[in-house]
Amino acid sequence: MTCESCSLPLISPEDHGAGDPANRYCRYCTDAVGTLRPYDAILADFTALLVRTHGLTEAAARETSAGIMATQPAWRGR
Amino acid sequence: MNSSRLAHQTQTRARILESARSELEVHGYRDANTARIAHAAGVAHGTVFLHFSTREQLLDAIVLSDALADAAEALPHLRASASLGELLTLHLRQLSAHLPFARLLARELPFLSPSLRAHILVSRTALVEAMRLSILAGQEAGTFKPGDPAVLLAFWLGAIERHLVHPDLLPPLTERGPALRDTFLDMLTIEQPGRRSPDDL
Repeated sequence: MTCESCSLPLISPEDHGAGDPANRYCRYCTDAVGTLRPYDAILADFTALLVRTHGLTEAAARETSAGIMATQPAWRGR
Repeated sequence: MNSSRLAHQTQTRARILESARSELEVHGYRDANTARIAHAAGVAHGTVFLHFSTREQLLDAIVLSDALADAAEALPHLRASASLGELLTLHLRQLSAHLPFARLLARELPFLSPSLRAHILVSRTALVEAMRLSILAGQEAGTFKPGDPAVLLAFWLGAIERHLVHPDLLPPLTERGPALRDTFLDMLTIEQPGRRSPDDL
C-alpha cells in the first residue's frame, strides 16, 4: 500500500496519517489529526526532500514531485 | 467479486509481473514482448492487458513491488537510526537482491517517461534520506567531515550507478560494493585513533 497523495510506501501504522492504518495518506501528507494537507504545502515539502536527498535542482525536484502527485488518486489530473 | 476469484486474479497478476521482470531483464524495456510475457506466465496474451494496459504500467508495477519490499526490509533500520555504514550495507544488499533489474533501470532510465523516472527516483528516497540524516548526525558529533550531505551522497549514488550501467566493464556490486562502501566512509570520516569497523560509522 502506498500513500494516495505522494506514493510513499505505507508499511506500518505509524506511516499513516495520525497513525491510523485506515488513513490512505502518509504522515507527511496529513496534519496532526490525519486530514490531507493542501496540495501546495505537500508539493513544497516533497520538492525540498528531493533536493536535499538526491541533490536535484529545485526545478527538477518540483517537476518530479508534481509528476508523482499527478498520478496519485488525491491529485489525479492536477 | 468473491474471494476465490480475487485470489486467482492476484495470483495471475503476480505471475505476469514475475514473467515481465525476466523478460525485461533479458530483452530490455524497448524490446520487451508482451506475447512472450504472457506465454511465460501461462496466460492468454489479452490477459496481460487486462492487468496492465501499457508496458510502462508493467515496469511501474515491478518498481513499486520492489520499493514496497525494500521499504519493509529497511523499516527497522530506519527506526533504529542505523549508522551510515549499516545503511550503505543495506542499500548494497537491496540492489544485490534484484541486481539484473537494478541494472536494467539504471541503463534505461534516461529513455523512460518522466513519470516513470520520477517513480524510480522516489522509490529510494526513504533510504537516501536516512543516509543524509546519518551523515548530518555524524557531522554534528564530529565523526564526519563537514560538507553538504546531498553532494557527499552524490559520490555514493554516482559510484553505484556507474557500476550498474557498466556491468561489462566493472566488477559486479556484489564484489566491488564493500570496497566502495568502506572508501566512501573513509572519505567522510575524520581520522581518529582506534579505527572502528564500517558498521560503527
